[in-house]
This record gives sequence, C-alpha cells and structure tokens, in this order.
Amino acid sequence: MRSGSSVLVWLAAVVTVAAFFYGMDHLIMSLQGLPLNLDLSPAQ
Amino acid sequence: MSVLAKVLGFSLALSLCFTLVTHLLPQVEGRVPQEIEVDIDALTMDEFIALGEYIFKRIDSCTLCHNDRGRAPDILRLNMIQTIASRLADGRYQGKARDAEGYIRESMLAPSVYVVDGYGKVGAEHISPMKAVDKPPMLLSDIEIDAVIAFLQAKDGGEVTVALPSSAEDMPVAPALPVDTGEARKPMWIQAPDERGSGG
Amino acid sequence: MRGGSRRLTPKVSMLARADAGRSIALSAALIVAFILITSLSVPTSADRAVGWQSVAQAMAQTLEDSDVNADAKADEIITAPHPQRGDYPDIGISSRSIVWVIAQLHLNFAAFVLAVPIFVVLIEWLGLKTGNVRYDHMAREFMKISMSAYSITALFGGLLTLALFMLYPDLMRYMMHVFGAQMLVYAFLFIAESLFLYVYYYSWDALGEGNRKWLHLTLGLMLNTAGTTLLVLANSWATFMMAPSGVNEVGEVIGSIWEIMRGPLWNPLNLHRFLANIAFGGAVVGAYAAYRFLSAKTAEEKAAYDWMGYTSNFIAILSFLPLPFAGYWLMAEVYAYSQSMGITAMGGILSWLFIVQAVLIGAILLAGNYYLWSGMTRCEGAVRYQGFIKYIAFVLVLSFLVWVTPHTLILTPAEMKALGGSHHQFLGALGVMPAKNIAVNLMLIFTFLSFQLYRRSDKVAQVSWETAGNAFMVTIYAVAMLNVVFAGVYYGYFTSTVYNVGSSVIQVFSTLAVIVAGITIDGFMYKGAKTLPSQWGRVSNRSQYALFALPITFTWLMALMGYLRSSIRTDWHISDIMRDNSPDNFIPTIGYAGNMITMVTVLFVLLVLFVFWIATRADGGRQKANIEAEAGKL
Repeated sequence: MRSGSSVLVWLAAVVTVAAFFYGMDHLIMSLQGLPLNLDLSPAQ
Repeated sequence: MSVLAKVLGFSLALSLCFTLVTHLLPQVEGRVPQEIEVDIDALTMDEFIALGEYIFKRIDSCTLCHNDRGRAPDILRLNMIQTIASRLADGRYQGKARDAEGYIRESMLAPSVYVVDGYGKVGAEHISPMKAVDKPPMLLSDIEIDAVIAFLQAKDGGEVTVALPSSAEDMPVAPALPVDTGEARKPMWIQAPDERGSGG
Repeated sequence: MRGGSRRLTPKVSMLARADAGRSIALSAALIVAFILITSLSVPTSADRAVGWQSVAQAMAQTLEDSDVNADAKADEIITAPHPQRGDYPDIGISSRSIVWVIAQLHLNFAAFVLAVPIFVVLIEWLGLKTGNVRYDHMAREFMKISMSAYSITALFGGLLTLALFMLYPDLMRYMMHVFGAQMLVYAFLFIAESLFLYVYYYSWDALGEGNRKWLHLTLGLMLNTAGTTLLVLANSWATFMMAPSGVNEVGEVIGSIWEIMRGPLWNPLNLHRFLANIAFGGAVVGAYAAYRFLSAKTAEEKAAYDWMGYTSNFIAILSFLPLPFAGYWLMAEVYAYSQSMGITAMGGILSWLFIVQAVLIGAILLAGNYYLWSGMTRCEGAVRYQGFIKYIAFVLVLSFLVWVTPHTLILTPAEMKALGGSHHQFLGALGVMPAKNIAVNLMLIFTFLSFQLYRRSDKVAQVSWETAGNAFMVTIYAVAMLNVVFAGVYYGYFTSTVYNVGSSVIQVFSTLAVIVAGITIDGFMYKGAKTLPSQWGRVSNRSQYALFALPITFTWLMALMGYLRSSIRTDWHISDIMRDNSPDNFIPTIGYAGNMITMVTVLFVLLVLFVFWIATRADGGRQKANIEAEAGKL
C-alpha cells in the first residue's frame, strides 16, 4: 500500500535521524570531557 | 531620482539607523583610572579602607570578575571572616597563609596557590584565570594592595591587621611600571604541550 | 538555472587535457618556488632572528628623534618603551581618530582586493570545467572592479604607514624592532602581489585557450598566495598587540619571528578574516551588480547583472555562514589568554557592543533571505514554495528579537525601582548566552532553508526515491531544530557552566548537519532533474536594495569589530607590555564609535561608487558585446 509504505518511510526517517542526533550529542559532549547519561543529563 | 542618488540615500539612511542604535544604548566611557594624590602621613585608617574600597570597585578592577555573575567568588556578598576561615581549613589548601591577611595577600599575589572549586581554568581546574595583581594589567603597588586587604578585612566587621603606610617607605601610590632589572623574565606566552591545536 | 552554453569542441578539449598535465607540473613548480623564497626570507631560528633584528634596528635608528634607548648598541637588550603623555606628537586633532579612519578604510579596501581574486579564480576554473564562457566573463568583470580598487588600497596603506609612524613613533619603533625583517617581507610581497595582479588581469585574452588557460589560473593562484600571505602577516601585528608572544614581561624579544607571529590569537584571526573577506568581497561585487541592474537599459543587461548579483549574494552568504563559529573560536582564545580581556569584551564595558552586532547580523540575514525570496519570482516553479516564506520570516524575526534582547535593561532609577531590579523577570532569561545561541543557530538553519527552497524552485526531481529523500530532509530539519532548542534550554539554564558552554558545540554541529545533509541530498536528488522555465532579470528593483544593504552592513560590522578589537586592550598599546599614555588612551563611548563608523562607511560607499564608475568606463564596449552574445542563453 502506498500510504502504508510512505508511513514506514517517514518512520524510518524519524528513527534514523533521531538516533544520529542522539549519538552525535553523546559524542560531542564526551569529546569535550563532559559525559552524559543515557537520558542526556550530565553524568558529572 | 537617479540611481546614484537613490543608492547614496539608501546607504546613508541605513548607516544612520545603525548609528541611532548606538546612541540609544548606555554611553559609558572607559577612562583610565587617574592618579590620586594621597598624603600618606595624614591618612587615617578609615580613609585607607575607603581607598581600598575604591580600588576594589573600580570599573576595570576586581569587580570585573568578582561579582554575582559566577566567574569568581562574589567577594562583596561573602562574609570574608567566615569564608577565609573555611578556605584555610580546607584539606586542599596547600598555601603558606596562617591568617586572614596572609590568605588575602596570597590570593592576590599568587592566585593559583589555592583555587576555589569550580573557578579554575576550563580544562586546568587547578590554575586560576586571575593574574597576580602586582603584575600587568592590574599593577597594584604595595600600598594599594594593603589598602584592598584593609577594605576586605573591615567590610564584614573584622579586625584590620595591615599597618597604615608611612612615607618612610617611599613607595608611590601610582602603579609602577615594570623595570628591567636584568633578572630572568617570564615569557609572555608559550604554547603549552596540552594546548597544542588551539590558537595555532 | 543554466541555459545554453558555448562548449569546447572535442579537439580543443583533448588538447587542453593533454597539456593540462604539463601545466599542472609547471604550476606546482612555480608554487613550490614561491613558497621556498618567502619562507627562506623569514628566519625560523633565534640565531637568524638576531641577525635580522640588527638590520631592523639599524633601520629603526634612522627614524629616531628621541628615545630612552637612544644610546643602545645593536646587540644590547631592548625592552618596550614607556612614552609619557608629552612624548606623543600632537597635531591638534585626535591622533586616534585619524588612524581609525585611515586604518578602517585601508582594511575595507584590502579585504575587498584580497577576497575578489579568491572567488574569481574559482569562477574562472568553473568556466573552464563547464565550458560555459559566461563564468569567464563574470570572473573577468569582478577582477576589473578589484583592479580599480587596488590603487585606493595602496593609497590608504601608504597613508596609514605615514600616520602610524608620525603619530605613534615609539610604538612603531618597537614594533619594527620586534618584527624586523618580517615587515620587509610584507613590503616585498606587495611587489609580488602587484606583479601577479597586473599579469593575471592583462593576460586574460592572451592566456585564454587550452594549455595557457591553466597557466592563467596558476597566476591567479599565485596572486591569492601572495594576498593571503599579506593578510596573515598583517594579522600578526594586530594579534601581537592584543596577546604578545615571543617576548618576555618587559618586551624583550626572546623568541624567533615564528614564535612572535604565532601567538594564541593569530590563527583564529586568520580564519576569521579570511572568511569575512570573502563574504565582504562577495557583498561589494553584489552591490556593483545591483547598481548595474538598476541602471540597465536593455533586458539582456538586466538579465546578466541579475545573474551576477545572485552569484555574488551566494558567495557572500555562503562564506558568511561559518563566521559566527570562527568568531566564537577567536573569543574563546581571547578568554583563554586573558580572562579579564574576555570579560571586558563581553561582560564589561563593551558588552553593549554585542547588541549592536546582533542588530547588524540580523540585518544581514534578513537582507540575504529577502533577496532569495524575491528571487523566487524568476521562476514559475517557485510558487509551490512561497507558502514557506512567512514561516521562515516569522522564525527569523523572532530569533532576531531574542538575540537583540539585553540581559540588563536600560532603565531610569525610577523604572528600576518599579521593576525591582535591572533585569526583567521573564525577558532577562533571553539576555544570556544560551538564548542567543539558540537564536543564531535557528537563524542560520532557516537561512539555509530559504536557500535550499530557492535552489529547488526551478527543478522537478526525477529520481524514484524523492519521497524518501524529502522525508529524511524534513526530519533532519525538525530534529536539528529540536536539538538546538533542547541543548540551549536544558544545558543552558539547568546545568553547570561547563555543560552550558559545551552544549554550544552540539548546536553548531546540528546546524552543520542540516547544511551538509541539504547539499548532499539535493545534490543526488536533483541529478538529471527536469528544469522549469526561469528568467534572469525578472526580479523586483526592491530586491537589489537588499544587495546594497549587505555590503553597507558588512562595512559597518567590520568597523564595529575593529572598535572592539582595539578597545579590549584598554589602555595598553601592547597588552601588559607597553602602556598607552596618549591623550586618547580611553575607550570611547559607543555613540562616538557609531558616529566614526558611519563616517567611515559613508566615505567607503562614496569611494566604492567611484570604483564602480571607473570600472564601468573601461572596457564598456567589450562588456556590452559579451552581454549581447550571451543574450537568450541564460
């Protein structure tokens, strides 16, 4: 179904992009010596 | 109207808009502190403390950082008697001071001996971003340093332990210029190994 | 939006490719030779530094009239001088204001003539690569403007040198002592710059085809090498004054010339000025294009200059986008060098200046965006995107207002009493850095959105994965914006200072992610796209004023930042080493600075219009012929 596959495409986009930014946030902060918890709160 | 006139008119109008913005803001002039004539022999302790307060609160002086914006301990708000006592009692304190006067003097002349938690340089928490006050840019003389210490001791009702200056010491009030005595001098800036990659 | 083009014939292409190899080798050899010559002129060891300094000292001695080191021999230690107020020459007018006006005009023109060859060479190369002769014509016309401006640059440079040596002899004597032969290298490079400039421009026809075109491009590259080296050499003087290196506490030279130059602020300033020059150069040639557009008599002329204006705006905005990050690096290094200097700039007496900066950058972004939105009228296909404009405008204006909001309100004592302080209980929160960072990053993201929609407006994608591509693009925008706001609000207001500062890097990278993703996805998605009809020249006259607003605002901003740079040294000529005891050794009020800056800006506009006029007079016949030949091919 076109609408079904389109929903899937959007879902895939949201999941992928969110994961990318989540990972990027962790990476950038840890590279600066500012580690984060899983919920993005400061670990220090 | 010709294109030239329109373009010039537009340029002028836009520039004047920006000028207007600058005139709406507080107009502050960054004047250099003027030398004050002080008759050392006639100085009373109250005047000495007032001199210290003036130096402390000058626009480009201590209050640049020691204020309520979190860059350095808010000295004017803190009770110095209690604060100094707790600093000296801190396990991390490795300096040579034994009393309030000594602690204040050490903090002014060698700020990195003891750095209060959270106020060190980013990435080097044990180093203070403050420069010694007898060096540029502050260049306070011995008398000025004593005056500030007197103020800081007195402001919370503490005992002032610094002595009033006497003309026998023959020290000028005005900031002294650095004099080349031929001794080995510190370099102005060298790239530390752990700073490589920043600033080229 | 490319129309027809005159392509190289297969035979000529083949010849060009075959000879390109040899040309590249020749070019590489020239570049290596040039670098060897210039680097060998600059000593890299303390031993050689002393030798060169003897030369410079001998030169400096000839400029002396009275000096504390008057009886110093060439091998004695020289420290920074300490002139008293009476030692400064007094010519009846404020020396600082004279140097201010001349220096600022020199910097404006220098930025322009250094920047233009950078994008001219790129455009010329683009013309060679695509075989589209329009690029070559545009590159040449940009170069002509730059040529006309070159002599004015040199004039102001000469005047500046005269003014500095006449009005601040002690400072200049000391600077010559410290920098020594490096200043001679600077002078030599002017000869090289002039040589390459004239040969590059006047050999355009003679070196126009095949093998020789590569040689021409190499000449352009050499021109840029000389120009960029001039930039970084001059930058080292400014950064030395702010954050001296290679000297000790009393100004005695203890390092090599390399250590003197490579202070903590040198490379941040190099990057900042390099990018800012390109943005500024693009903006000024954009004004030229706008001026010609408004004065155009024929539709072909209008079309040609509309396209030129678009290209200039593209160059200006593209190189403008990374500037906030370069500026951030510069300020971070200022803070690291001296906390009090950093705080004087942003937390003390000069902090109001950054509100003016916010106004200016907001104006730049609004003008740039407005130009893009206006440009959408060129193409019918833009109608599908026009609905977005109001949302983009809303976000831009809102972000601009946030950026402009100060932390401390300007109130009378009575108002302060009524408010209960100088901070507003709600708006005060918008006056601090986290809110500003959110605002800036959102403005940059939405500016890129305007640009991306504009670029898409004349195309219809033909790829099968268009829906997926757009889904990813939209999601990236949405998540990036959320990330920027989240990082700013959460780390900015609810965590410690270090996390607050660190989170700004998250925001920067979110913005960059949008830009990189946008360029990449569109690059692939619109390959082989169907092009919709569009017409260069079909744009309102109003939009051209946006192209004037850009260089005026840039000029004003450059002068404002110059006022900042000079002022954060407070009453020091050279921070912590040489005190400023001149009658002007105070930071002037921002209103006074505003007046000076507007005067300089108006002078600059008048001189630039003069340059445009000169450039239009010469070769007018060839330009007209080009435009007619290209008519209908845009």
